[in-house]
Amino acid sequence: MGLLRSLGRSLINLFAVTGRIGVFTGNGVFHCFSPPFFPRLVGQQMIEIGFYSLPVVGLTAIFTGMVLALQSFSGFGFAGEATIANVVVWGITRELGPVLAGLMVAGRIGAAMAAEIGTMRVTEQIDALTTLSTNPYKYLVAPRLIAAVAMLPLLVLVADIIGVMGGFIVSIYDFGFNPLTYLRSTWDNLEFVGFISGIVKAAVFGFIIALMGTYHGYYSKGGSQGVGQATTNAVVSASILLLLFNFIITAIFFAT
Amino acid sequence: MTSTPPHAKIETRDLQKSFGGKHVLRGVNLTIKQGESLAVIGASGTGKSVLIKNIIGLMHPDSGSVLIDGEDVTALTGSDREQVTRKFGMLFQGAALFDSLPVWENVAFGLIQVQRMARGDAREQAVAAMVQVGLEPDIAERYPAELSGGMQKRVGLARAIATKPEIMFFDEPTTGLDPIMGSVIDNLIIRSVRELGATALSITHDMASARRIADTIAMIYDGIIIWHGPVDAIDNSGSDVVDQFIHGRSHGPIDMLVAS
Repeated sequence: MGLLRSLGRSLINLFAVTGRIGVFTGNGVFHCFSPPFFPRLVGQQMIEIGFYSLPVVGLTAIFTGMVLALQSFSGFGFAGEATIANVVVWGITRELGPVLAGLMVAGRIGAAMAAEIGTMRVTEQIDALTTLSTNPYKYLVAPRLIAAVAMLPLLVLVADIIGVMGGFIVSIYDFGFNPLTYLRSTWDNLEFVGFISGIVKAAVFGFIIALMGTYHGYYSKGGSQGVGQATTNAVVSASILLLLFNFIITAIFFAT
Repeated sequence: MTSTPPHAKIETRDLQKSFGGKHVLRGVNLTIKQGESLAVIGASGTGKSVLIKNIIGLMHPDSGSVLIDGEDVTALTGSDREQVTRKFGMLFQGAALFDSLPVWENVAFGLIQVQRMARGDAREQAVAAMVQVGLEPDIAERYPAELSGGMQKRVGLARAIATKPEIMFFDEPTTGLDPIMGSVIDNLIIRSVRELGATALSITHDMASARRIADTIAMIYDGIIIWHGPVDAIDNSGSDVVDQFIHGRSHGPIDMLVAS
């Protein structure tokens, strides 16, 4: 009886949370498209998400590209430039670029959003917005959603380029490959659908990261401990959803 | 409803609100006339904050209604709700300043975002509001975190009056301030409300503050208003509960549930 009851309670909780996220998402998206807009805030968020994430995304990408080249060289032996260039460009554009950039940004931006909005919640700043006739969804949620969806594809584009460059550096300086041949193989193996799937993933990941960051911040409660909890939840849930949607989008694009 | 007399600025009718099993508001009936300054007093945890949040629209009552200028606003949402909120100015307990914005942008927030005023003009008007509450114009570029508690309260007050609201709400305006600063803030509140000709609703447990800022006092106890009258009548309320509260006695009808 006790087991059944607690099972039922967690199931009801699950439905309640799912419903709340659903309503939050609907509100957030609606306010992205209904005036008034806050272009200044969107711009600030774009700089915060896009520009200031560049170092972290760039470093992740270059080491990933380098390690891909090393691993495929040791795995395939002297299979030649073509194979290694292929593995690097294929792996980076399809999977590792978007997923690793997404996870890094989830840690950086998702946490920052949850902490900032969570603090605003517990210090009544969100209530203050309402009493100043400003909708918190429009002022806080919509600019972050817009900026993240716009900037993640750009970050992933940068990650793709730097990642491929990482593989190039290792191949040229470590394995002594011919740079021109390597670049030509890279170009030949770069496929449009793979690249586009990565960019689509990036936009979806951006949405997930901003949604989880703002959602957990918005509903945080109970002072500094609650804000800490919200930050953790934002990063964990964004990372898991990101990997889940990575699988779904890959299946949509490539499962035939 | 035409039965509401036009001079009732704020009215609540049988307002009820529960959280889980806790019945916080059990039918609050309150009328605040145009230009009146009412202070709601009561012990901590008796529903003062819940009451003010229901009136402002930050919470929605389970039943009952809230009328502003005779209009039932209980069920309003979206832009209809924002139209009503434009009449409001609120000073929060912790000032609730936006810590990502400098002081002047905090004060000018309603002017820029809601009234769509040009930033230069809004800044001028914000500095005027700051001067009105005794702030030096040269702190305009500072951030809220760099200010003391009393200064933050002043900025909060300047932000609340900048849009020239018809109704002002004060949530525990003196809590967390020393008695002198509390008195200074009270005087600023009295002056700004008078200059705006606004109607004011304060919630407080500070009796000295309530006596200063209010024309009338209402006491909330056990989820209902148990006494409501002019400020000079409170010493002869004839209610044991009110007497216990205003004299701060630990023994009486109010049981604070202190262990042993």
